[in-house]
Parts: sequence; C-alpha cells; structure tokens
Amino acid sequence: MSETLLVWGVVGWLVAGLVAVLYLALKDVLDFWRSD
Amino acid sequence: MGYLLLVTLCATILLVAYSSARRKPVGDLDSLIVADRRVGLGLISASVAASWIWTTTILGASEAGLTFGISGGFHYAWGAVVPFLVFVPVALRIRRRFGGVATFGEFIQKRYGLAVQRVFVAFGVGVAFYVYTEQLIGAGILFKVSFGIPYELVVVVTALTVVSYVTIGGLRSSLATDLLQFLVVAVAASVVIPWVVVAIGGPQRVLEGFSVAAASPSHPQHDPALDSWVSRSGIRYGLTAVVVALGQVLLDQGYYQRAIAAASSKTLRKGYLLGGVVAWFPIPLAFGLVVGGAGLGLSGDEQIDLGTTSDVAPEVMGALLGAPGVLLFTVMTFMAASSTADTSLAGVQALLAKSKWSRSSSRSGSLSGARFASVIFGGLGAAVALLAEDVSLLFYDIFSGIIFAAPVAALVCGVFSTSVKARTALVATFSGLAVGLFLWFFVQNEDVNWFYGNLASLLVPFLVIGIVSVPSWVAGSGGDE
Repeated sequence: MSETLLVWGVVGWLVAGLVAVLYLALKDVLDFWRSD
Repeated sequence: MGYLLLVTLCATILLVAYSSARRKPVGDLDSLIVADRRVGLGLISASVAASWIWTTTILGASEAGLTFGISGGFHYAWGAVVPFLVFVPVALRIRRRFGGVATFGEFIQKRYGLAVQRVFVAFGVGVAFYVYTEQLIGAGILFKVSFGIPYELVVVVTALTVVSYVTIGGLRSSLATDLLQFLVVAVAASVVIPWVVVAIGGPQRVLEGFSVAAASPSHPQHDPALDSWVSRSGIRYGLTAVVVALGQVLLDQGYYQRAIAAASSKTLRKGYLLGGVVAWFPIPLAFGLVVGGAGLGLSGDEQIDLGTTSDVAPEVMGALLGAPGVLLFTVMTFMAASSTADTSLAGVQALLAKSKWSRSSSRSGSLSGARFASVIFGGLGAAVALLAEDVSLLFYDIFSGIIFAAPVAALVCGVFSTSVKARTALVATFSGLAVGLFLWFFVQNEDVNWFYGNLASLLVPFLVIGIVSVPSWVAGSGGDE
C-alpha cells in the first residue's frame, strides 16, 4: 500500500505540476495573441 | 527514421521561433535581451522549467536512482532546487535596488566596479559555455545511441538551429521555443513515467528493484545502501548537487534575463517557484525512483546489460516500452537539451552586449554586436562539443561545480550587504577556487575528494568575506559604495 502511494503519488505530482504550468503558459500566449 | 526525426524537431523549433520573431520584430537591444520586460507568469514558469530541465535532469537523475538507490532521484531534485530559493531573493533585490540593469554583469559593475565585473563576466561566460556545450554533447550521444546517427552531424545541426533563432529573435525567440519544448517534455514525461510503472508490473515491482539489488551480492549494481532513504553516499550526492547547481543558476545570465523580463516582482517570485520548484522537482524525483528502480530490476534479471550506468534510461525505455517509447524519450530529451542550450546562448548574448569593457566607454553594446557575440559563442561551443564526445559528463559536472561555486559568496553577499569591498570579493572568490582545486587534486581518497573540493569552493569565500567584512560591518564603517 505504501509503495503504491509513493510511486503513484510522485507520478501524480509530476503530471499535476506540468499540467498546471502548461495551462498558465498557454493562457499567457492566448492573452498575448488577443491583445494584438 | 532518426534523420527524419532530427530534421522534423529542428524545423518545428525554427518555425515557432521565426513566427514569434515575425509577429513582434526585435527593435533594439532591450527588446532583444529582456523582451521589453513584460513577460507574464505562465511564460516565465514554463520557460524557467524548460531551461532547468537539462538532458542530465532526465539521464542523470535516472543514473542517480541506479547508483544511489531509492533516494537518488530525491537527492538530485532537492539539491538542484535549493539554488532557486537563493536566486529568487537575489534577483528581487537586484530588480528593486538596480532597476535599470538587464544583466548580473551590470549589477556587479555598479556594486564592485569594472575589475570585478570583468572577472564575473568571465565566470558567467564560462558557466554558459559549459551548459551549452553539455547540451550539444547530450543531444549528440542521444541520437547516436538511439538511432545510430553520426554524433558530429547531430551536434552541428542542433547548434545551427539554436544559434540561428537566438541570434535573430534573442530572448523572445528563446521564450517562444521554451513553451514548445516545455509542452513536449510535459506531455512525454506524463506518458513515459506511468507507462514504465505499468509495463514493469506496478509500483511494488519498481521498488523491488532497490531492495533486491541491496540484498543480493550477485546483483551487478549491488550496494547494501540502495534501499535506504538516508544513505551517506546519497546525502553527500545531494549536498554536492547544491554546490554544483548554485553556480549554474546564480552565474547563468539566462535566469537573470527571465527574472528581469518578468512583468512584475510578483510574477518573478511566483514564476520561479512554480517553474523551478513545483513543476521541476517531480521530474528528477520520478526518473530517479521509477527509471532507476526499473533499471535495477531489469539489470538483476539480465534483461538489460548496462555498458555504463548513464545508459540506464534509454535501456529501460527500449526494454519496457519498445520503439514508440524510445521515440518519445528521444523527442523529450532533445527538447530538454535545445531549450537549455538556447537559454545559455541568449544569456551570453545579453551578458557580453551589456558589459562595459573600459572606463571610457559611455554605453555598453549594440544590437549587431550582441548578435555577433551569439554566433561566435555558438560556433565555439559546437567546436568544443565535437571534440568532447568521449568526455565523462559526470567529470565535467564535478569540475564545473568547483570552478563556478567560488564566485557565489561575493555575488550573494554583495547583493545583501554594502560592507563587502571589491578587493574582498576578488580575494574570497580566488581563495575558494584555489582551496577547492587543491582538495580535489591532492586528497588521495577519490570517493570524497570531489565532495571536499566542491564544498570548499563554496564555503571558503563566505568564510573570507565574514572574517574581513564583519568587523567593519559591526563598527558601522560601511563599504565601498
């Protein structure tokens, strides 16, 4: 159980962190294109 | 297949870079090197993460998992995150106190004068050269190992791609391509890591790799400490990672450039913590834990044969995920290499263009001079990478740690205190460098000489500055500002 939590916890953090930054970055780009 | 992939990747990067340059052409030097200081939170975060994801973040963290065990990826990760916790206050203070500067070289010149600036710019160019060259070497080895493409060809094509878009579009092109590179790395890492966990048989099988290799003396990578979270070698590795990474962050103009290009201090602070810590930390952690554990398991079962421990990530991808996995892994690692290389190149472009070289020069640089500098630097870096195919990246890393940790104390203390004088900054920096190199060369035990050398190079300058400057600070005599 603790192994499952550790490995999938790390994988979850990896995906969540990358998706969060990607969302913010794409939002920036959309705002930039709209502002022109 | 490999040639097509290389051409497609370079063409896509160039297309994105030129689209961004055409949409907002570079008008002057400020526009080239700090993108008019109006970059938002999302782009700063993605760009910092993409720049800090090196080929070694993927390949080296996997190797750290194999070599130092279950804690290897964690030690790689925390060691490389600490420098950002130092960098953010330093960059915020420089922005507040020296608002007009675009490079750390300009800050050093204002704070310590021209002589110290020359020394620090030399260190800054050295860091960038080391980082840029290492990415080219990584890209060359990756395509050679995965697809059998000549190393020299990959180095030249990668260098030509990066140099051309940084020369024309500067930081703006670097930011635009960072977004593409981050997108690809994010998608590929989010697929590859869970895929490895499932393909090897679940989380228990991943962690079994560490315990079996620790318990079985016949395992090729046997070490009783592999399944320990508090192994002495792992902790030593983490501390060395802090020292090595401190110089790589605090002397790399690429990070100052992004900090100064951020739309506000709040954007800087949040962007660096999001990109450099929240999004970046789990990448080496996951590669060390999952790929390192899988590598130990597969190596023990003789399903992979590791010529060198650095091959563990591509070997695991090939054995568990087959051709599609290798393709995805190569794309991801190439994007990591090119984004880091362009950050260093754009940094040097700015550092050289904005540095004053003589007391008589009234202004520091021109647009064409900055572009010329990036072409020369990019070409020289590619030439060195062509000659360095067989150099151990680990050796390169440890050596760079000793050299580039030495100026950190003078830079950080100079930002937060006015008591440190120019001469003290120089004496402290060269004392650290001398003691660090002395320990590395003359301590007989090769298991610890690199560790002592790195620590001394970082700490001796703090000690020198403390001994010389604290009495004057206590007495309230002020400094040389």
